[in-house]
Amino acid sequence: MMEAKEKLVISGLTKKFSKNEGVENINISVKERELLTLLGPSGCGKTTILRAIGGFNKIDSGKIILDGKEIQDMPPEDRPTGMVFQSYNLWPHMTVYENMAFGLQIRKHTKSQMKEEINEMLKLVRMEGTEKKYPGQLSGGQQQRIAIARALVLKPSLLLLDEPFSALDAKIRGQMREELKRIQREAGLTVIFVTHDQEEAMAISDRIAVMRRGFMDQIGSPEEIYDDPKTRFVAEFIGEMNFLDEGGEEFAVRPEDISMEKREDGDCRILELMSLGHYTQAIVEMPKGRELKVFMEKDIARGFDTGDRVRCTYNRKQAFAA
Amino acid sequence: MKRLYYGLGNKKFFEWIFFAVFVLFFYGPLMNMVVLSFAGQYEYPDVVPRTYGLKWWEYILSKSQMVDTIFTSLVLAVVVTLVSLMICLPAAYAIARYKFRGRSLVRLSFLLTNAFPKMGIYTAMAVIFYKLNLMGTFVGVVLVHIVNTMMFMVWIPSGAFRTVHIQQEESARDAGASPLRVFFKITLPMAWPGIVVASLYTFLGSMEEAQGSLLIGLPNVHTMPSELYGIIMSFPETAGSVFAVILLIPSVILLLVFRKYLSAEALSNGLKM
Repeated sequence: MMEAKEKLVISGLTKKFSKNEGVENINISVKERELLTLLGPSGCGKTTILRAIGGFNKIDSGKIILDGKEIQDMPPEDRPTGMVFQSYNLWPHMTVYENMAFGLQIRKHTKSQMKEEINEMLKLVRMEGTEKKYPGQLSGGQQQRIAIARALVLKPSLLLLDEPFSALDAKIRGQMREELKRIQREAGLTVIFVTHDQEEAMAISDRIAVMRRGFMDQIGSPEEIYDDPKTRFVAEFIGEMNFLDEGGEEFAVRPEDISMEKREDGDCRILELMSLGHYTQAIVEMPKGRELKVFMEKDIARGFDTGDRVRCTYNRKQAFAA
Repeated sequence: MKRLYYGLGNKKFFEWIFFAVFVLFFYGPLMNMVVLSFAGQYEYPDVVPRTYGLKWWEYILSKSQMVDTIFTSLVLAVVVTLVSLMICLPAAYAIARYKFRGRSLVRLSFLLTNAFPKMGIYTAMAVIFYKLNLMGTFVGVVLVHIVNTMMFMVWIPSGAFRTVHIQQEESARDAGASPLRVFFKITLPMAWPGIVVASLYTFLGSMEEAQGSLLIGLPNVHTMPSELYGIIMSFPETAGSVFAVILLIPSVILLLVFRKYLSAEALSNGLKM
């Protein structure tokens, strides 16, 4: 693959709200047409970074360079970024069309130009024909689509999404993820996405930055983050993980990397079998009373019963600096 | 009566009685006043006039001094509403949006003018106004009225501003609007119902304010309510009724026009601490 151009470079970004709150010395770069996710528990500083890029948080120090230009001192209205919040994006006293025309009017587009651009964007988010509706007449998911369309109609250089789907139902959230991925591909967008939902992050991201208490623990593709977590926090936060300590050696094993064998002299015992749809989860009691989580395919799971004595082998161990 | 009792059922019956008493209590005097204003011949112990006519309306409307007070009152109410909008809306916005030291103290300070006996405040104001040569001036009366309306004008719009989500303002900034444009295109229209309610209270409050106008405004500024004192003293009550009905007309019109904004919700939003 050709080396993509760097779109956004953040260096040494620091923003402190108090001694313990805020982010310190953040360095990230985002490539053209990339979808980078900032992932972490609430209070880890992911939104702080996003708001700093959008211009809503004044930063203490550092540089934010977008398309080769320093933007950290500009007010939000002058930045070529488009932001979508978790909720309350739309202006309820304006129709969908007026909502979308708001920014275009400021940029002095002609009426016919506006109409064409808005139509095109509504088509992209599959909301044609809603121009005359008021936000209150739309569902939560539809409102977020319009919010994304409203940001995109202004042709932002960078799209910033602050947990845009977390207020939606699980099912619609899934659909919106796929939609976003399609829109990003079709429009060739560079996106920074903030979420606390690791599943969502895994599903849509080109790269994920896992954050903890104002620091970045690891940045990498979803596969790297999942298969090769660099810290215990990342290993714990992403997916399911068993943490073990055998003979003074600390390591972690994913539940799907364990295979079980039924043996009379096995040192483990199955406590519980639970079907989770496309796979089965077993809770296994180990000799010292610790519990182990094991995932296996349905067909394999048929050979086991609760209370069976088994022996577990780890197909893949992961070690990391504590 | 028995028919009504069994027809409505026990609970409904008493509700009905209660409502009837309520209506009589509130609308009885009002109706009596309206009827009296159209009296032709009326003597005191009678409940309703013997004959009807527009005699007293003609009488009042032919006195230019009284017609003048109608205009004074209307102009005064409009000026008071506009000036207090200009003073109070920025304060309301600041209280709604910014966390600053002593915010609740500022909020409560607007209550103070309504917490003391009015006459005391007016007297104190009169002392100051004498020194500033504001006694008997239009400006002086405007200031007195604003002191009264400030609490509503700050509290209710402040509640309305708080219902506008910060993301909605930030989205507009993000779309390229300057802070001033955001305020006029996004925040203000969204807070509009609360502002209308507050303006309505201010307007009506200014229309009916008598004590302060009397003390500060006389002998040069005559408003309808302050003039009403004189009319009650020196004219038959039928003339007073006509004047009171005229005073009532703007209130009724405004309430009818803006009734969709007048919800308990708009009020309670403003009174949330």
